[in-house]
Amino acid sequence: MAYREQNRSGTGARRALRLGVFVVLAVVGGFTLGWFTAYSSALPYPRFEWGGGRAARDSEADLRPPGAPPGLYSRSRSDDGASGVTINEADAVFPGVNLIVSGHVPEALLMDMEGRALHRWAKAFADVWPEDERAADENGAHYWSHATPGPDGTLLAIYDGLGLVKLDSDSGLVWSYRGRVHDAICPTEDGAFCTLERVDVSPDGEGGLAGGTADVITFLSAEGEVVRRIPLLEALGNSPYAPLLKREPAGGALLRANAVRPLGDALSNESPAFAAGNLVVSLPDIQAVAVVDSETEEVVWALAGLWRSMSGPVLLENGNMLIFVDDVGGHESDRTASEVRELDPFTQQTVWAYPGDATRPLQSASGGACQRLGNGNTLISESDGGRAIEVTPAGDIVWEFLNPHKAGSDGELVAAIPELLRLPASFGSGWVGEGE
Amino acid sequence: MSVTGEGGDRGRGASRRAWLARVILLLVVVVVAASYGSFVRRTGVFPHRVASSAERWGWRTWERIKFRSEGRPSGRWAEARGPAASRELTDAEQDELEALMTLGYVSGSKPASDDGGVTYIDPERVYDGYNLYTSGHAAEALLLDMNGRTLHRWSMRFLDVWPDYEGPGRDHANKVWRRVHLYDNGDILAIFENVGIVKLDSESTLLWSHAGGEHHDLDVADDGSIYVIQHEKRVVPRVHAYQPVSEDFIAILEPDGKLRKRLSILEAFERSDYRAVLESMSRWGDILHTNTIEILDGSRAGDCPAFRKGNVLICVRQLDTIAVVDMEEGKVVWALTGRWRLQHQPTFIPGGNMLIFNNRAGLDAHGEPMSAVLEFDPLTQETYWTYDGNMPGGLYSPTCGSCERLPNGNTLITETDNGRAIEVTPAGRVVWEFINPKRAGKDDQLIASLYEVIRIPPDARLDWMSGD
Repeated sequence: MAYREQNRSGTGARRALRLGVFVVLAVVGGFTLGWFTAYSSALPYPRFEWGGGRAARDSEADLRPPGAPPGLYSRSRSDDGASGVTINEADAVFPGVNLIVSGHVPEALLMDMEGRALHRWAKAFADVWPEDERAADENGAHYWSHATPGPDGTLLAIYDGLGLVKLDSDSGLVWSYRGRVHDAICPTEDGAFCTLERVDVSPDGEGGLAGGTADVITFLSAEGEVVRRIPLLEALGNSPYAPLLKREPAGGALLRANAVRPLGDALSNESPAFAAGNLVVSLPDIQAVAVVDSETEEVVWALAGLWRSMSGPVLLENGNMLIFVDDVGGHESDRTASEVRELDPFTQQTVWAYPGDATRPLQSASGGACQRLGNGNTLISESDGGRAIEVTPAGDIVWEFLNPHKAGSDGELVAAIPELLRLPASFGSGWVGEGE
Repeated sequence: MSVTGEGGDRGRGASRRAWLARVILLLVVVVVAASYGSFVRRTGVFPHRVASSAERWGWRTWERIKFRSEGRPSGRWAEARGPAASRELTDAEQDELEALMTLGYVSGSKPASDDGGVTYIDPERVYDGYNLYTSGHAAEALLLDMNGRTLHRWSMRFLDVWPDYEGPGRDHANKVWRRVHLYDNGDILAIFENVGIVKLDSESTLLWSHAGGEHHDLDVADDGSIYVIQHEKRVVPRVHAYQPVSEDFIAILEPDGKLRKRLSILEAFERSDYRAVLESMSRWGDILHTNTIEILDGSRAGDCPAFRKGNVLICVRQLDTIAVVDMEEGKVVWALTGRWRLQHQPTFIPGGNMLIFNNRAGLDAHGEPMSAVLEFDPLTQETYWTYDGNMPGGLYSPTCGSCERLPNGNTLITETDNGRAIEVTPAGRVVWEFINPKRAGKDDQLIASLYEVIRIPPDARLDWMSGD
C-alpha cells in the first residue's frame, strides 16, 4: 500500500514535472515567436509606421470634421467673424477678376477684387448623372475641387473623384465624363486637356506589388473623349527613378498624384528633362515632384526630400518652381506647417518662401494652390483655412478673401477653398452678365 | 464484455478530452506568450534586456556555426562569383567581345592566373600608376604595380593598438581596415571599422590612434585636418524611446588625431529644409549608415552655393540619399534621392559631374540583380555615362563598392563583394581587372571583400619606399 502511494506520488510528481516543462517550453516558444514577428513586422503583427504613421494622417485628412455637412470643410481659424474680401490694397494688388471654387457646393464664382459676384456656374451632380443615385451621396458630389474657365464662358469642373463636366456660360451641360478624376485640369492644345484619374491596380505577383489604387494622367479631347492615358506607376517604375517606389504609401494607394501641369519652355535649353510639353506632377505618397516625358511616358526628373507632402508645382517663366508645400515635415512637428516656396529646381535653393506670419502661419495639410501674378505677387489658396491671400515678394498681404460659407452649430467650420484663380480684368467681357 | 467496452470507451473519451485540453492549453499559452513577446519587443518592458541579449547570443552562435562549416576566417568574406568573363554571355555581349578582340582588347591582355591578382591588362588603354587597396582578409593595405606585384605593405594588428578593447568584435583579433589614406611621405591613415582610426608611418609604426567609432570613410583637407565618419550607439529619445540606435557623426580631427569638432548627421538633417528625408528612416539599429565623406573643393560653387569649398558630401545609405553638409551652419544644404538604392561613393569629378556606385540598380538582361556606376550632373540630374551589370564585364556588389574617375577618362570600379576591381574606358571596355587573391573556405569558395582600390598616379613620390 505504502509502495502504491509512493508510486502514485512519484507518478504525480513526474506528471507535474512534465506539465511544467511543457508549459515553460510553450511560453518560451510563444514568446520567441511573438518577439520575431514584432522584429520583422511579419503577420500577425500589425504594420507599424514611423512617428504615428502617415496612414493615420491620411485617413484623418479624409475624415469630415464633426458636425460638417457634405462637402469639404475644416475648422475655421478666423474668430472675428469677418468674411469675404477683408484686405484689398488697390495700389499693391495685381488687378483682375477671381474664379473661386469652394467646398460647400458644386459651383464656381467669378468675382471682382472687392468680392462682388460677376458670374456663377453651378450644376448639381444629380442633374448630370441622374441615374447614379449612389454616387450622388458621396462627398465629392457636393463640391467642385477644381474648375478651369474658357474664354467663351465655358467651364470645365471636377466633382472630386467622381467626374468632370463641361458647362456653357449659362451652366448648361455640354458634355460629361464619369470617372474618378480629381485635382487637375490642364489645357494642352486645341481645347484638349489632361486631368488626373484614379484607377484600380491588380496585385502584381512578379514585382510583389500589392493591389490598390493609382493615378493615371488622362488626356481628353475638347469633346470629352479619352485620347490616351499615362499610368504614373509605370511611368515611375520603368524609369531610373523607380527606387522612389520603395517608399510604401498608405491605405492601399500605390501612387497618388495631386497636380499635373504641362511645362513651358523656361528650362528646355538647360535640360532635356524639361522640354516644353513634358508634364510636371506632384506625387505626395512618395514625397516627390516629378517630370514625365510626354512622349516616352517615363519619369525623367524628380525631386524629393524637401517636403513631407506638397501640391500644385508650377514652373515659372524665370525657370524656378513655385510649390505649395502642404507639410514641410520633420518628425518633431506636432502640427502641420505649410509654406509656399519658390525654388531653383536644379540647385534646390529656396529663393522665396511664404510660411505665413506669427499671427497666422500658413497651414493646409490637405493641399493648397499658388499662382505667380504678373506684378511678382503670389496668390495663395490656403485650402483648409478657407482663405486666399495675395502676398508681395516681401511677404505683405495685400489682398485677402475669407470664405463666407460656414457650417457647424456656431459657424466654427468653414468651407475649403481648393483653388482661387486670378484672371485678367478683361476676362468675361462679352458674356459676363448674360447669365446673372 | 460490454461493461469492459463501455469502460474502454469512457477511458478513450477521457483520454481524448485530456489530449484536447492539453492542445487548448498549449494554444492559449503560446498565443498569450507570443502576444507578450511582441509587446516586449516593441515597448521594452521586462524582460526586454534579457531577450535582447539572448537574441544577440543566438545570432552570434549561428554565425559562428555557419562560418565554421564554411571554413570562413574572421574578416569580411563573400562567395566568389569569379571574373565576369566566366559567366555565360548573351549574343549581344558575345558580339561585343568579339569586336573587342579585333581591337586588341583581349588579345593584348594577360591571361587570368589561378591565384588571382591582375587577371588582364590592356597596357595601351589603362591609366598607368600604382594600386593601393584594402581588403577583408586582414588589417593591412597593399601597394601594387599595374601587374599586381606587391610593392609595399602596411599592417597593424587591432589588439596591438587597443589591447584593452572590450567592445563588439573583440573576437576578431584581425579586425580589418575599411579605408586608408596615403600621404606623400608614406604615412597612412587607416580605419578599423566601427572602432577607430590610426596613423602609421611607412614602416607601419603607430604614430597615433583615435577610438571614436570611426567607420567607412575619411578625407583629408588641405590644412591636414581629417574628416571622418563616426558612430555612437546611444538612446535618441525622439527616434526611439529606450532602444539605443547607431547614430552617425561627421568628425574633424586635428592632423595629430585629436578631436576638433563633431556634428550629428541626424541633427544636420533635422535643422535643414531636408528634414522630410528622415520620414523614411528606420527607428531601429543602424538608422543612417553613412558610408562616404568628401570635402568639396568649391569648383562648382558658382553654379550652386551649396557646393562651396569646405562643405562636405556624404552618402546616407539607409535613406538612399546623398547630401551636402555645411559644417559651419551644421545643416544639410543640398540632397538628392530617387535614382539609387543602398548606394556608395558619390564623388565629384573634374568638370563638375558626379560619379556614384548604385548597388541595387535593378535586374540585368538575365534577370539577375546588378549594380551600376553612374556619371550625372548633380544639378540637372542628367546622366552622362553608365556602366552596369549588362556590360560584358558585369557588375554586382550588393554592399560596399567604389568608383574613381581617372585622369585619362577611364573609370576604376571596385566591386567589393565579388573581390574584384576593373578599369573601364568611356566606351565600357574593361582594360584592367584585379581579382583579390585572398581566398578562404574549404574549396576556396570565399573571397575577401575588396573594399577599395585607389589608383596612385605614376608620378607619385615613392622614395620613402626605398627600403622595400
